[in-house]
Amino acid sequence: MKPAEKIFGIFGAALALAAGLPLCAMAFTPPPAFAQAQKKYDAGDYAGAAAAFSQLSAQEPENSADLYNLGDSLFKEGRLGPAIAAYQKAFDLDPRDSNIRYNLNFALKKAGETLVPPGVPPVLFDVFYWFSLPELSGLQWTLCWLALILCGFWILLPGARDKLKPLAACSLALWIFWGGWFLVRKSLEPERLGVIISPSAEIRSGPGDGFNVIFTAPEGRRVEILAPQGDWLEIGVLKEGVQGWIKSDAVEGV
Amino acid sequence: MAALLAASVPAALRAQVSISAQVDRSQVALNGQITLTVDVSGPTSSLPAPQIPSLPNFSVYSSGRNQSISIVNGRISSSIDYTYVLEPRFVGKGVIPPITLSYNGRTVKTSPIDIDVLRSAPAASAPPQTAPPPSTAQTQEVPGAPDFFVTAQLDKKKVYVDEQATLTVKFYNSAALAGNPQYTPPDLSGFMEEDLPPIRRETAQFRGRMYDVSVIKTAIFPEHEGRLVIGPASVQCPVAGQGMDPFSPNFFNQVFNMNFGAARTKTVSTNALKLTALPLPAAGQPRNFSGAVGHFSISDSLDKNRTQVGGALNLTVSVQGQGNLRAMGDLQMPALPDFRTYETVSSLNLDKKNDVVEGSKVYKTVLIPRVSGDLSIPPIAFAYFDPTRGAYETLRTKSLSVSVKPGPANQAVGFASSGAAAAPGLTEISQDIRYLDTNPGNSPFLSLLRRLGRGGPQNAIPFIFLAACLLWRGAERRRLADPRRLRARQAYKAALALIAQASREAGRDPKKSADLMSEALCGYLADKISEPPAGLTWRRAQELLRLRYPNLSADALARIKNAWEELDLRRFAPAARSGPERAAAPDLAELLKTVERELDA
Repeated sequence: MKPAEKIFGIFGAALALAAGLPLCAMAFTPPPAFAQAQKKYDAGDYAGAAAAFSQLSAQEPENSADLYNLGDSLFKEGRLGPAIAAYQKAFDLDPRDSNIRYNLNFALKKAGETLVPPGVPPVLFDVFYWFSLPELSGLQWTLCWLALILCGFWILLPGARDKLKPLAACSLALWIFWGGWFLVRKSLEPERLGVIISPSAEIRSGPGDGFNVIFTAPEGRRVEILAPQGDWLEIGVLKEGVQGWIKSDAVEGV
Repeated sequence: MAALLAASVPAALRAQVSISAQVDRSQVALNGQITLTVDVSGPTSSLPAPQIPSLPNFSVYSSGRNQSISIVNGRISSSIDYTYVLEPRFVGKGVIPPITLSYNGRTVKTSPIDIDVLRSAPAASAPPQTAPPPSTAQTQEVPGAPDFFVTAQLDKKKVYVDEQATLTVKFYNSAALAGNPQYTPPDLSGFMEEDLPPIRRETAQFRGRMYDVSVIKTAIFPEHEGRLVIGPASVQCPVAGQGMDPFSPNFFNQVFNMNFGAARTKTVSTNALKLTALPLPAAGQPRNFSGAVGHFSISDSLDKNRTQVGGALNLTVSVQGQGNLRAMGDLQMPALPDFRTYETVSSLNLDKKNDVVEGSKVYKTVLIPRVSGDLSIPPIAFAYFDPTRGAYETLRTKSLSVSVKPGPANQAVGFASSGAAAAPGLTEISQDIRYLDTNPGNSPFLSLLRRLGRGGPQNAIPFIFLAACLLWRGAERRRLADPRRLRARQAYKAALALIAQASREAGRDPKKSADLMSEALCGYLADKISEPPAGLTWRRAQELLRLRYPNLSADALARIKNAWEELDLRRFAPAARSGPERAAAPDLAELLKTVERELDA
């Protein structure tokens, strides 16, 4: 077998494996802890369900479904701020999930916000946020690997250059595209996002009770955490674009 | 044609209000009273109040109102009975002029009512009060025991905003007046007031003198906090110039026996009173507090407990009790997502028994079930301020339930129909979050992708790989650019490989071993001097070695020569040179190592 054929064989096997992994996920069976949490939720024990889903989420922090279920339980319990924080975490992991989008938007409306900012076409928002930031980063790194390895083989194997050239060029172009998308998303999103979890939070002009209250914000409002100082956080309210200081226990980081 | 015109008149114009008035009697004594009832009815819950005309022959006091509302097939009809107490001022024919009501730009009115006012009936003997309390009395003209005077009194000095205080004005008279006295009520700015009729008659003794006493009571409710002033009330009394019996017990009758031409007017007044209105406490004020102050109870009911989707239910919530019901706001109804709710209408019923303003406020609304099943209406909360306890109270109705059967298919589409047949569609009942994700598995591919996206040292691998490829490629290019040098550098390695092979063959085939070692030496030297190994002679090799490697020592050359010759001898005359071939390989290797070192130097 020629070296070029070997390379194509290896990539083919890798792609087949990648395609097969999601099928493995489809055959996933929920753990017993999930069934218990679901039972509590169905029985109206939302606090108990929230505690159970919180434990599940702690065991598997990157499972968007656990965070979504935690958000549902907190919402039903009447804790709007923590519910929005959980939904936002789930959205950051899996923004394509229509249920996560719906419930996050539903909860945000109760806090005077919407998931899609006013003036932005929903279709554009959906496309732009089709992938999560870690997924975009992962894709651009995958394409980086692919492009650089193909380029390496292109260098190593002068005899296979004709076949490798279109593959290497295509992967390089894709890397630039996904890398650009990733960088634009990263630059647009707040460095640290938080959600107000206090029923009616007072935002002061400085980090202390002696400073004037300059505005109040409702529970569930998303804010950008700018700088911590002791027990206080400097925040910027995303929707209104105002800044101030708030006690750190009134904000849950996302 | 007329029928067509009548049909084209909007329903709102055809459905007009009506008004009627009636009295409980058409003849009354001068010291008697008439009850006038005005009934207003119409197709709205907010009926206007009737406009009572000027009645110079009567003193008019509002006695209360009684409202009833009914909702049938979504149509509201309301009826209010206003009750007034009329007290005649003069003997003779009196007329109650038409009472008018304006609604939707149209005015309706009652017919005039004739009243005969007769001379006073003999006063009923009443036990005299032994201790009249004219604490704020102002006597006129006569020191000691005046002919007439007026007092004003409050039952409380401090009340909360919207709490009832009762103002009592008493007119004491022991003289024969030339006419009925004219009462001018006090200025009650800052108060909401309610008359507390009827005027009561009694007798009392003051400083040894008997008086007829007319008692006028008014309920007042402070509208704001602070120290409020109640202005003086006054009574104008027509006094006979002469010949009047000052000791007559019935001053209303005496006036008609007098000469009117000789009468003059005297006025008596009360002092101004002060009342402190306390603010309602802000602490502990419930969210649904709507301004009710007093003592209340609440109840609710449905007109039926079984219906179908799209059927109408009448929900009635009644708040009863003592207090200023006029100031009470609307009830806050709970969210009823399973029902379509219509505007809540309220009716007010006031009564003034025992000089206390009391009554009920009844809220009615129509509910249309949107879904079938056993539906419930949660308790409705009502908050009020209890001035006795100085605290807020929250009452809740009982939860109501209704069994709803599925209705006709078109009932769920919508209740308001524009006439045209609408296509069946979805009806949004309520909004809620979506249910749990019951497949909480995470895609390993996505997990891997996210892990890769987190970055880390592993992502340097492709860059290192590419750099290595580039380095290798550069080295390869450089190597291929000088084949002689490449050959010379690889000579030693190739020779050692042949020597190792020769060493392995030495025991089995000495000749082959010698051939291999010769090939190793010859090849090594040929590579170093860039000559083909075939046909290379020692002379030629020595010549070129000296030319290209002048640093090579003579000793090394001599050793090479010896090895060359020795190997030739072994190859071509093995019998003559028998010996340990195994030892020859390391020697040759050692020799080449020395030569290689000298060549590199």
